[in-house]
Amino acid sequence: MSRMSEQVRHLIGLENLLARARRRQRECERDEGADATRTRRFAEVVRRLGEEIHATDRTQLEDYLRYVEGDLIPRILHRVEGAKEGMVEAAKRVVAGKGHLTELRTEYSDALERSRSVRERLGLDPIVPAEARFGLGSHPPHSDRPTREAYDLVKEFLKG
Amino acid sequence: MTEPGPGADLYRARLQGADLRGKDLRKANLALANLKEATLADALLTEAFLFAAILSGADLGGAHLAHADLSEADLFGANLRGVNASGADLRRANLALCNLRGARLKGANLRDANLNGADLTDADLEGADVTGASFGETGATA
Repeated sequence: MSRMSEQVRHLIGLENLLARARRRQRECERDEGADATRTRRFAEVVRRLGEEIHATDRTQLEDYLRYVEGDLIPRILHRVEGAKEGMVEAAKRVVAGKGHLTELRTEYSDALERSRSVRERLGLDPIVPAEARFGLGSHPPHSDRPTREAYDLVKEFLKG
Repeated sequence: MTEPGPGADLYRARLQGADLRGKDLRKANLALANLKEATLADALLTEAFLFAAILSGADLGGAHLAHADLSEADLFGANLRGVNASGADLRRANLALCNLRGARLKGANLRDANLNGADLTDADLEGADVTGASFGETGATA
C-alpha cells in the first residue's frame, strides 16, 4: 500500500483547489472591484471547498501522522533545524480537523528559512533543501536517497 | 445537481463524455466540473463560470464562450476550433495541444496560459493579454 493514502491525496487535492480559488478571489477583489458577481462566485467556491475539506473523513490520517513523524521527517528533513516540531504539530492539527495539510509546507518553508539565516549568521555551510536533494538541484555526496513515495509527498508540499 | 441549462448550478458535476452539444449553458456554474472528453460543440457558454474545470479532450468547436471564466481550466488537447471566446478569462489555463484555429480571442485574458503546441492558425488575438503565456514546444514565453 502506498504510504500516502488515497484520503491524504484527496485532501491535498482539495486544499490545492482551495488555494487556487482563494488566489482568484483575491485577484477579483483587487482587479475587478466593479465586477462583484465574479468575486461572489469565487467566494462561493471557497466556501464549498472549505465545507468539503471539513467534512472529509480523516480516519486514515492517524496513519499519515505516524508516517510524518516516524518516517518522513527523519528521512528527509533531519537537516532542517526546527522543522520537526512545527510539522508534527501541523500534522496533529490536520488529524484533529483543525488544520490544513498545506500548513506542513509552510512549517517546512519557515524552518528552512530560519535555518538559512542562523547558518549564515554562524558562518556555517548552507543547508541543502530537500528539493535540491531530489534532483531539482545538485546532489551532495552525503545525500541519502529517499524513497519514491517520500519524494512525491515532499513534492506535493513544495508545490505552490 | 441541477439539469444543464441557462444559469444552472453544475459545480463539480461529473459530466465526463457527456453530450451537451448546442446546449444553452449561459452563465452556468461549471466550476471544477469534470467535462473530460465531453461534447460541447456549438454550446452557449457565454459568461459561464468554468474555473478549474476539466475539459481535456473536449469538443468545444464553435462554442460561444464570450466573457466566460475559464481560468485555470484544463483544456489539454481540446477542440476549440472557431470558438468565440472574446473577453474570456483563460489565465493559467492549460491550452496545450488545443485546436484554436479561427478562434476569436479578442480581449481575452491569457496570462500565464499554457499554449504549447496549440494551433492558433487564423485565431484573432487582438487586444488579448498573453503576458507570461508559453507557446511552442520550447516553452518560450511572451
